[in-house]
Amino acid sequence: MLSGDLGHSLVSDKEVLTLLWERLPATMALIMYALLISVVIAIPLGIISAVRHNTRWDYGAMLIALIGVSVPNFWAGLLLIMTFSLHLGWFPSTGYVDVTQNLWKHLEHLALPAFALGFLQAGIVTRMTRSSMLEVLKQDYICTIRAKGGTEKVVILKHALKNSMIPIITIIGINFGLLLGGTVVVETIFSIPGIGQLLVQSVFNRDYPVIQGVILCVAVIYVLISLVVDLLYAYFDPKIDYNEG
Amino acid sequence: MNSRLLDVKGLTVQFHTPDGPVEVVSSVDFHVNKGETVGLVGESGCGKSVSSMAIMGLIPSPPAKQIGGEIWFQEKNLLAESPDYLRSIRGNSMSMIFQDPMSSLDPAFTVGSQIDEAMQFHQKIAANEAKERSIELLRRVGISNPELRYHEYPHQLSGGMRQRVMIAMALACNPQLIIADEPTTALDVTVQAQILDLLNDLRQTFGSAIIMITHDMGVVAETCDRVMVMYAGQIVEEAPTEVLFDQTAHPYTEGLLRSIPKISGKKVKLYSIPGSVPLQRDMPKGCRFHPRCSYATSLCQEKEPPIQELAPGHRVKCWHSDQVIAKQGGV
Ligand SMILES: Nc1ncnc2c1ncn2[C@@H]1O[C@H](COP(=O)(O)OP(=O)(O)OP(=O)(O)O)[C@@H](O)[C@H]1O
Ligand code: SF4
Ligand SMILES: [Mg+2]
Repeated sequence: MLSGDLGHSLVSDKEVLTLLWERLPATMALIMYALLISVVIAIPLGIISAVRHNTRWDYGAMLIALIGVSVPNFWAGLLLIMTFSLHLGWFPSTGYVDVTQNLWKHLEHLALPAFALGFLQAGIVTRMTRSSMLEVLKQDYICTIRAKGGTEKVVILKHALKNSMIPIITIIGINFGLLLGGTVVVETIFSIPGIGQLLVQSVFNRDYPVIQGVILCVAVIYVLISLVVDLLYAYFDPKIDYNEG
Repeated sequence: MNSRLLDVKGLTVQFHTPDGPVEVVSSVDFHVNKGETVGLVGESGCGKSVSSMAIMGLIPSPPAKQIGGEIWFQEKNLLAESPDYLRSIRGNSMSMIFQDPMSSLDPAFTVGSQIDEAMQFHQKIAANEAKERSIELLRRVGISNPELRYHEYPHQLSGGMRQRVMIAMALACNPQLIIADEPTTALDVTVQAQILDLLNDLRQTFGSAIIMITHDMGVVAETCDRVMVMYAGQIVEEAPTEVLFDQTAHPYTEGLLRSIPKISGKKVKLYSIPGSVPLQRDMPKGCRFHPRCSYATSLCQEKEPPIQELAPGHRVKCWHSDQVIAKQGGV
């Protein structure tokens, strides 16, 4: 195993490594989009609710976040399929097209699953952004920027946001596991040929070498993400300097 | 030419709290002339910071607030001007230095970029020109190796250096008025002296007027031309510095002066004014100082004393100021 040979599948006789390579792109794309969607929704929503603290905006955003946190992936997935593909027919309900074949089709197929997967993360990140921003906005240095004549835009989007990022990144990193776990459910519902689906199939088939390979692969992804999180820390918090050790 | 730079008339600030409105500043009148240093002294909680934040237009709006009176600065009543106008003078012709340099600088940006910002908010200025001027300012406030320091983050600097950075930032647009809210309280004694020297020095070269907020009469004696003494949201005495020290007319000022430690060989117990600042909710009737005042009479408990002018520039809000002055003559 250490030499990179993960063995062969007991079912298809393909090499485990080959299987993983085939399945990885779909999962990675799904996770990337889910993360992107959650961040693109959650950070602005969190900022609005912090800036408009205790107003209707705040309550609305917190309601959305609450829904995000409490609706399970599979249910969100089913609801999305029912509304947007069965009912409205805007998106395909299942399947996957690789980027290299057709970008538009690729996005179309992944839109709903990415939403289903990103919802939970979005809820969590919204709450964290809000509480982190509220904390930062109370700090003395925020007053200093206003006293220098900074506009609210500079105060919030430049200074407060940068100082709020550490807890936000931390929570994204911590919850990355949830996202990975969620792929198992979401890939199954939307029949996306990714690692999650591979895991489910191999468990049903008691295909041990493949199960082992998937677990290892997930562990590697997790480690890589932790590394990225650490590098981002250094960017957002100048007190962290990996060069000086 | 009008020598008045700032004219505050009847400034009143109320906060709406869960227990009802509290009036933190009550019809305060004062002015600042061009280029002079005016002290604003008083115990903790008497409303010094709130007054200065009102002048800067920076009182945070929840908790809901109500501000009354007039603040005239450069021929405009700031309380009637738009938020945009206020922003355009903030940090530009009027700037502020805060009490705690450890928390007043943004930890996520270099000190240099934060000084640059102070200029960029108000002027169209190229990045490298801003940088040059920031470095020059850092040099002016006595920071060695300014080219290097420019690129450092606040956590890499000591408290004294950070306060120098704050001063450099306040000076960035050549303000006519600097409000220094206890600029030395958070620093240790030797550094305090250096910062005061620096402010004195800069004031000569830049010609800015300074409102020096402090509760330290020693700082007042060293830096101020005039002093205003504040108690429980009101100005109770105002005088040129020497007059205030020599012909103290208000019992509260007298108490403040007696609580300065004197180094005279033998150890004496430090004087402290008995009691504490009243809570805004149960503000005493009549003179607000009467529960703590040794001169108090029944008149003081019933009627609020008016402001009297004892001599040009020497105003006091007390029924029995003659007794306070007389007592000093007797000592
Ligand atoms: N946002 C607010 N809401 C309600 N009350 C406030 C608020 N800000 C200040 N106060 C009250 O106003 C009073 C005056 O506060 P201020 O900060 O001006 O005191 P200060 O004279 O600057 O004291 P210090 O020497 O401690 O800085 C205090 O009693 C304080 O509790
Ligand atoms: S008016 Fe009376 S109570 Fe108030 S300070 Fe003067 S003497 Fe004291
Ligand atoms: Mg204060």
